[in-house]
Amino acid sequence: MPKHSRWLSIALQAVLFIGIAFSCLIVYNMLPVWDQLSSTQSYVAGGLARGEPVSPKMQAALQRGQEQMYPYLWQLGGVAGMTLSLYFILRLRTKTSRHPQR
Amino acid sequence: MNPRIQLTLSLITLLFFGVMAVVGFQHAKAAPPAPEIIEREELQNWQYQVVQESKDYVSARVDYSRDSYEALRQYAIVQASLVQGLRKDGIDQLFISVTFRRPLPIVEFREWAKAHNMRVDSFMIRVKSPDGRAVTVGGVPTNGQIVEDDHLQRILQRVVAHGATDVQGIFSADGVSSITSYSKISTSKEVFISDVTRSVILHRLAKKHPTIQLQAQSIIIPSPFSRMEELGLDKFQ
Repeated sequence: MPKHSRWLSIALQAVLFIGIAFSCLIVYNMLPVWDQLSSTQSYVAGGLARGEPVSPKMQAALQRGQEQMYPYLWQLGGVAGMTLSLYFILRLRTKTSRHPQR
Repeated sequence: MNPRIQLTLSLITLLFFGVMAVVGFQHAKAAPPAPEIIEREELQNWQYQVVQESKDYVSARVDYSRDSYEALRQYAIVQASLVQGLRKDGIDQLFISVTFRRPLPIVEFREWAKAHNMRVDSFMIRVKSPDGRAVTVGGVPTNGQIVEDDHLQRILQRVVAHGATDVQGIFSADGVSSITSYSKISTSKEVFISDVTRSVILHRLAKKHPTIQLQAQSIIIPSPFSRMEELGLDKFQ
């Protein structure tokens, strides 16, 4: 295996590792917000099941929870997408370095 | 596919997701908007403040002294003059919050609400545990009944499971009444405070800030009943 191809392979693994680790960190930060939002959602759902209307305060809490969730979903989508893109770029480079085009 | 095209596409995708991640981090960094006080007034022996909690939600909170029996009595007395003011301004429907002198048994409360022409929107029940701990349970009229038996069983189930078994009765009710029925409610021997501050706030806000959409149920009035219990309910009979 050519030397630079080996380095590309290491970089490939590093990108995957860092991407997954970073995604886990984002999920870890997102969990409390998610927990809060799902509690509010089940509280509202319970009230609706009993035929009680959703109070404006609960509506506002739901909206606030959703607004807090969006940035984490964007972060997660962005980091996961970047990791996959980098992975494909590096894999492409590895392939082309193994089988150089003439 | 040509590797060059593949590489270009991957780079574009990388850029797209990079922007997405940056936007996410920027938004997470931005602090959520702090609730903004949009109105605050001190009136005789009570005050209120209106808060813009979020873009679409405005709430208000009433505050008054609950230090002593006399302070609570003064707050109860001032309600009659507030109703006079509302009557002058042509208000005929009142959002009213009634606090009873003692918890009314459920049957008695049903009869009381009917006799006083009050449309009940919600009520609070006092339940006590054997060790004397007081628990408040909130309920709402269901299936056209002020206090429906099934609903009552459901809402009491949880506190009963935790040991609070002594259902003393309903100590407070929120709802709507006509201004003509108000005097009957306020002079009822069971009632200690017939609070109309919700109507006063809505009316004053409509005059000063007509664009603010505040709903009656978003106005929080602290219940005086726990304080009444501390001071001794005998004093309030």
